[in-house]
Amino acid sequence: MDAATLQQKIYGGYGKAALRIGPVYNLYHPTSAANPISPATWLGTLNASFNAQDMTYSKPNLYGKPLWYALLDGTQTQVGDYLVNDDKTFFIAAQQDTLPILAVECNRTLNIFRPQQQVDAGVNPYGGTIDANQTELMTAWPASVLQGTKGEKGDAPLPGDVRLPWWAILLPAYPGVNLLTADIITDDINRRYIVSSAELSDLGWRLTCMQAQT
Amino acid sequence: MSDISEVLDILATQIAGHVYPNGTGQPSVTGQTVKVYPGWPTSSSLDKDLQNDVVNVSIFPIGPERNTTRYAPKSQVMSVVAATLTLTAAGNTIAVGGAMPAPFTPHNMAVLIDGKAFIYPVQATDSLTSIATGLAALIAQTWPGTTSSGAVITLQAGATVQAARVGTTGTTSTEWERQSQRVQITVWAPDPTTRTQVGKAIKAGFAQISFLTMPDGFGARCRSTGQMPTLSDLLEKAKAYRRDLFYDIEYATTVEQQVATVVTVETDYQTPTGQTIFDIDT
Repeated sequence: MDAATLQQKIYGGYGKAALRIGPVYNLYHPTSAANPISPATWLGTLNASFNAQDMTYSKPNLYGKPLWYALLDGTQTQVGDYLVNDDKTFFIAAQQDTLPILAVECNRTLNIFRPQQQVDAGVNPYGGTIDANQTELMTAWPASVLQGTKGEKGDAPLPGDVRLPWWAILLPAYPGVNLLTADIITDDINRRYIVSSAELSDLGWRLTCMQAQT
Repeated sequence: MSDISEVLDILATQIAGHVYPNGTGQPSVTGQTVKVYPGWPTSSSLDKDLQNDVVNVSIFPIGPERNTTRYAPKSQVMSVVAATLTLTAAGNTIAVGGAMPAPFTPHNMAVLIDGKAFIYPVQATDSLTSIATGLAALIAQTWPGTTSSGAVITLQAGATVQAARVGTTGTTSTEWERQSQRVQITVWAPDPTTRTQVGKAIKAGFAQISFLTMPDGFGARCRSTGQMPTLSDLLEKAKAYRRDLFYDIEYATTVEQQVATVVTVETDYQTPTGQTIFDIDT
């Protein structure tokens, strides 16, 4: 048996197991940097079951742990695809040879912007990012946004202020979109983040962000 | 008396007038909502406003207070209660007129006869007739034969009425101290354009104001002053563009007092050794 056949049999086994124990998910394959979950990106449905990094189904997932092992027919999915049902949203982070499929649970939906770029020779507009002059890089991408490890004081020490939290963000990579330090992220509950470090690996983007607050 | 909190309140109302030149029911200088208040914003409220293009203007004292008292305390009459009673002299009769004050306010009914004052303090239960009766009784101690009938007093022959006056009470205010306090006005805007619009309106508005009128009626000198930095884009990532304006507000600490108005003045003529020669009321 060669590696390809073995891989197909593994995914086929995953798929059969998911049919028996996993609920139905909608499968989406992002086709642009905007709105990865939409009728245009819907591929169909499939059964999937997720467990907390333990194929024995013996441990619950814990706080701050976004990673899950996915039991699903991996021949139908690709890295970066989203699985969505009424209850949960995941994206496929990795489908490595002969290894379990790695998925990331998403708890927020993000928009990502590039701050104002001064591009003209000679006189340019006032140097400062505002809604009108920032460029939207990614729109409405579900992502994992979990607490980071540190915090620091903001630039406007107000009486009610506490240290600003840091956040660890995971989301799929999309070809052609290169996230940079100082990019701005907003989420579906009106929080605003600024990217401190942006790591791109075959698992997708891993961002360290500071909450941007007055 | 004025206090720093009243200074902040007055500044807030003035700024609201500058940024809403046609009233708060009409658009502001930015066309969007502008919130003006003493104190500092809370981050959660400010962030929400900034995302909705709402400008906040916060006002807070900064730095130590400076005592700038220059002059000896002097009382100023701030208000006098209008009299509702009248006293009219004609020949050897004096008529009590008008109406009892409702609600009651103190009145002093004064009659000056031949250099001596007779003053009747009106009681809350008095009527025009009882005022006349009381005043006639006071005068009769010096001028026997003085009687009253209804609200009219009739003096004995030979008594000359020099003046008939009605006094009430009033409020005086004394400036005991004057101090200068620097105040920081911070514009929190969602973009540089609205920051400029609001900052300019405040700056131009206060440039035309030399004195603010405080609730105690005294003036407070208002002067712009410099303190770095005036513009800050440090909070750009949080969608906040900040401008700080600084003003020195020199305001008075005053104390109010309720006093009766003067109806007669007694002059005591004495020898160099302090022996009274005679008294005369005027």
